[in-house]
Amino acid sequence: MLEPFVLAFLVSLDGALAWALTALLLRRHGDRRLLLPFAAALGAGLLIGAGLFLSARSRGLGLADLAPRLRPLTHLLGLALLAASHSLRATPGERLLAPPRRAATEIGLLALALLFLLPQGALLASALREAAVLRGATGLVATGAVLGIAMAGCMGAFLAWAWERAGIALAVTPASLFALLFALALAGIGPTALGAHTLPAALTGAIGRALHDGVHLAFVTFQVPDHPFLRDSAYQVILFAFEPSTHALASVLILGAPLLLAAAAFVRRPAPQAGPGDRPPARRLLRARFVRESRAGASAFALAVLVLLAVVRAEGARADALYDPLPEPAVDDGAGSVLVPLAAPFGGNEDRMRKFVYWGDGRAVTFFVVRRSDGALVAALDLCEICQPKGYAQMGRDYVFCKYCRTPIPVGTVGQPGGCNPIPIPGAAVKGSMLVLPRAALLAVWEKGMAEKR
Amino acid sequence: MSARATLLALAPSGRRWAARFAGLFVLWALALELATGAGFVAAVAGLAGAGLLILSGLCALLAAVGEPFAGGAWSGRLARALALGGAGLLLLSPPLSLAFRDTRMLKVGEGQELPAGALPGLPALRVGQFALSPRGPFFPLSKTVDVPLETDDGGSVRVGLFPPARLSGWRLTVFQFGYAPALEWRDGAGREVAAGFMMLGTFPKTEEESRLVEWLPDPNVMMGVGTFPPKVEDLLTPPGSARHLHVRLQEATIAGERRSLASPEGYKYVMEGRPTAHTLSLQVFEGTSRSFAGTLRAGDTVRFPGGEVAAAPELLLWADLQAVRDPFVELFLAGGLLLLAGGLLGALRLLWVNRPGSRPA
Repeated sequence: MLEPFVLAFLVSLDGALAWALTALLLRRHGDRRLLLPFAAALGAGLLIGAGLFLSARSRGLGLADLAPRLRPLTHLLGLALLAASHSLRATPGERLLAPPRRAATEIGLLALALLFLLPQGALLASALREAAVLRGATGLVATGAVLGIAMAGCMGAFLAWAWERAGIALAVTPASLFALLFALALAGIGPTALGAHTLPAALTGAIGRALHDGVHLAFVTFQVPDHPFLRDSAYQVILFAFEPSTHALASVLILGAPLLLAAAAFVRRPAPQAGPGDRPPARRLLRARFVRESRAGASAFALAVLVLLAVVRAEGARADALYDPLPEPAVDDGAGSVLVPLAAPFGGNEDRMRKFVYWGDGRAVTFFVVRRSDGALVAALDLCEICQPKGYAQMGRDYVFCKYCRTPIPVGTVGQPGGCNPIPIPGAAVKGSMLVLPRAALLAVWEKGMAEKR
Repeated sequence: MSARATLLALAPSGRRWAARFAGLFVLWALALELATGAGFVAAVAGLAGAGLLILSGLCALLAAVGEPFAGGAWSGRLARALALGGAGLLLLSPPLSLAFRDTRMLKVGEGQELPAGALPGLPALRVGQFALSPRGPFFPLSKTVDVPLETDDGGSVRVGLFPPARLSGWRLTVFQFGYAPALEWRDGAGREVAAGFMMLGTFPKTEEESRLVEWLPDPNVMMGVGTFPPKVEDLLTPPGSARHLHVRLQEATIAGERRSLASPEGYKYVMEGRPTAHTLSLQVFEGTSRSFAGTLRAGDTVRFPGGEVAAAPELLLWADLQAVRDPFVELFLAGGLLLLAGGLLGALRLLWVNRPGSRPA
């Protein structure tokens, strides 16, 4: 019962936090009538998501069929929250939650609540169904889930009360509310628990692809030739646009700019004017309240920016997960062969690349061994025919990646000569637990490959 | 209200709306990518994205035009006007370029005479001898491929890899190049089946025909702007015939060395100079069955049951020239230069105004 309880709790916690934050804004502006409908809309979204999953199952479809259709909803909702935070930067809550805008605002908030947990509803239903099938105890799983949701609901109510008592309501303006909801969606407590947190990857990926496409567009527009026709130094400048760190920086700038602009607009908003008959203490109180509000609101934006920075950094670390091992020494048997021990990690099911370096005639010959999808081990130089000798890394299971021209090469083609493929080593053979390479051939092929590099 | 006053009144709104439209474009591009994965180019070229960029550019230009009439020091106004004008042109030109760009491919061979109008507005051209070199003529090129073109009136243009050469409003670059051995193929009765320079890598073929031979692997080259190295083989099928001739440029003398062009390392030598004294590998097919396989030296004739193939001593080069008519490229470049100039002037002005002992700005 614990697993369904935890899953349902974490998924609902996103909704509970969203409700608590929204409640602070609504209560502050006297719009209490929306508190329950907002919570109900969050719950309804969860139920609709679960219903979509069950309906898909009844048509013989699985979560794998449904999830790709729900993912854009999550991603677009995240983007919409960011856009809303920016576009409402100069709009005070009083204006939004008073006639004539009040009805439209309430409808907008209810729609947001409905969509906020909808994708997670499908994912949660799938996870709970799986748990029920595995344990054969549907009742227990359902009880755990209901308790989890109830627990999250109670937590949301408690947080709303506690935050209001602590004066945190001062931090919640329409713009900061949406900034915090965006941060909440980015942090993705529920989606992470369900193993389906895709918003950071989608946002940073979209920006990275746009940069990449922009460079390509510039190549086409200005009729710039391809990298085999360019000098290394020129291509290094172009590669800067493809660096993961450049993509991460661009993501922070593009996603952070609306938040920072909203924060700046909030901090620079006009101070309230005291009435003509107000005494100095009343004026000072008004001024103090304004300063407190400014600080609290700025903290909310700062929190959203911090979450964004952390998420982009974590995503960058994950996306940049090129496996580039340090070369291990390979030894010469004194009889014309270079020996590479293939005990662990290749002894087990480890498929990762291993690099080796052989010192022969004063040259450091680097090569790697990787397992192809057909199970065969293949050895090739850490060098390609075309590019400068920056070598390869492994990208996922299925690719080696030329670190110079940033071209992924299908691992199945390693061993074939030509182009950006790593140069094969003739005569390499696996003998027992050893990879045996003819020393002369290894040195000759390395020498030949390096001779062409400028 | 005078024009000056109108511009002055509109300039602040122009600045504000330029930023708004640009922001909306970023939002639109991201939303399109997240919803459909259509990509950045589709966002720029699509109606909504292009509209937002054009509106943003126009607003920035409006603000730039109004800037000189605003108050303040002339250097500040000039810097702002240049930066805004540059930004306006940079925002305007990409969608206009994508919408109105005219890109064509012009295939030329050494010694060929192109009639006038091979591309709209292009005069009659004579193609000279190509130049290949393993070094680039200047930064950022690492290699040279030069195609000389002569016009009837004695004018000449050298089309290279970069930057584009201008001819009659077209911007020309070498997109790819290849080899063209001269062959004469006759049947058993001495009738000509096909004759001429065979531009390797350019012949159309069906899937079924492609399966007749084992092709050399294609190199992995990224970005797709031009292809390298040139293809060294092709399959010739005369129209309406069931016969096929597969020709592969096996080896040749390049810069005094005998080189194998069919090997995966062949590309290393292709830029060292023109190939001479080449050897071809031939396969002849009757329908799907191979009736002959062998080699043929330049200047020789090879006979086989059912025909003969003769190779002339010359091996010419051909090239695909990418021809682009796009007035907005210049606009884009001008925008970049203006923005840079505005930025530099603004920075210098800040340094000048804030120098020790300067009057308060």
